[in-house]
Amino acid sequence: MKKITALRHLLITALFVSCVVLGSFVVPKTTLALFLEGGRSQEASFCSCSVCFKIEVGSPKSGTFMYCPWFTRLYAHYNIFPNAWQLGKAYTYMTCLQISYPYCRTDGGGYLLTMTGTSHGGF
Amino acid sequence: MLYFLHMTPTIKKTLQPKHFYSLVIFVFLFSAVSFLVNVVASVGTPCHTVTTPDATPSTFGSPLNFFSGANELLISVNCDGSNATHIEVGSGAPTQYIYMYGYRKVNGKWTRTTFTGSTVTGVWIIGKGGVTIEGVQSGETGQVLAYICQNIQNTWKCGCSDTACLTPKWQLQEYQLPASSAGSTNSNGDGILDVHYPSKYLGLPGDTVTLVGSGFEKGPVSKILWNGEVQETGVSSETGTALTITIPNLPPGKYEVKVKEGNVVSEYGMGIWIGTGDNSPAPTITSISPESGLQGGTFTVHGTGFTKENNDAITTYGIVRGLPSEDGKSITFTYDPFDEKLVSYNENAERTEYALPVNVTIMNTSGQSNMKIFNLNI
Repeated sequence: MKKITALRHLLITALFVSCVVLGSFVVPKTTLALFLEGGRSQEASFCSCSVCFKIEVGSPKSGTFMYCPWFTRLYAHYNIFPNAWQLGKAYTYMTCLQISYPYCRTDGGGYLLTMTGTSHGGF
Repeated sequence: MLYFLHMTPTIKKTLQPKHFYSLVIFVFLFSAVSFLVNVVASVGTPCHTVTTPDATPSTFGSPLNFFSGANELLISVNCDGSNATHIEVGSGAPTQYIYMYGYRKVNGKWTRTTFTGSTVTGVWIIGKGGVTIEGVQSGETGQVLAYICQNIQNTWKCGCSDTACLTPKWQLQEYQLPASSAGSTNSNGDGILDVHYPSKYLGLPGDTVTLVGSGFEKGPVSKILWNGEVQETGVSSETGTALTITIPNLPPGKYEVKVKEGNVVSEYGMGIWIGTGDNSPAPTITSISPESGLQGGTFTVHGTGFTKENNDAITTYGIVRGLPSEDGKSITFTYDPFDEKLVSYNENAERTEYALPVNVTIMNTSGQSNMKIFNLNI
């Protein structure tokens, strides 16, 4: 009896561990990736239905990022526009929505910045 | 012939409960381990960004399969830790024909790419094809075009952007490589002379400032230009990404600083202020009026330490330069940094009002102020 009980406990533990291991791979990996933003702001455009700005950032950590005043934490020197140098973090991809009355249409997108600090912004 | 009818005797064994439990445990552990091994051995981490039907611009077809019911990706991109990008086209169905030539856009330039696959007929790969791109920079973004035809109920559907598939188009997928976990060591792969930002924006003659940038020569060949005139020569960089310069004996004010090496001058200049040295207190902002206003409206920054002329308002959407202050306590300016009038809507295309926050600091020869916020009503 004792052996059966012990085996039952081992089985339950093994089932639990397997579910945890297998379940972790169900989560899309892109939502767990950390994106570093680090480069000169080259272009900024306003996404009217998202109320965010789509920022093109140059190398070395280039990419298209979304600055949303209602979400992104902005640090000194607070300038996201060209040609200020940007350094920040982003996690999830966000679509840029533009008004195309009577709808909002997709206009690309970028990784939503959780935080970014900037330089002054050139001369 | 008869000997074939002799069956191999089988030994029947009663399955004991302990054997059953051990078997179940083994099966689950084996499944977990093989799944882990499979993931590790698989080609990198998905780094494509177009995963929904509405994420594709109207000029391109979608990378999704609209005819399987699962909307799975027909173009996927996986990135591994060794800066290689693996592009896969097709989901493996024998009814999918992939045009063997595609295009890849990196840093604004389109280049033709050739996909390979195990089953090829003419210029078509059947089922699944792909290509591996080496030497991709960490953080790089790119676009991939492929053209996929599917035989759906004896009708060819090619380059589809929806289930109707009326107009064949190149199908677009976009990707971005995650940043390297080792940190930012790849400061500039192309060696372009560029100045990013200084270690400080204000100093006195004789102070040293470190310029952070890229493409600096490691020998004593750099010249430093202040408002276009050479003020320092023979400056060298140990790392190629940092240059220590000395503030020259020039009158107080804001200067555009660039680096020159041979005949090459850094494209972007940066503003460095030379102070007065009279220990004037740095500017401070106490309030901004109005607190909210319209784009193109007039705003007044109230505070102390503003100079008679040449105050810069550094804001979220750019710098307003060379602002005067008659009384040293207020600076007034018109604020319209955008090329268009901003209007905000919700996702249902309904007009909404939004108070867009604008961060402001004031910079002059005495220093940089604290930050305050005013709003633009859009």
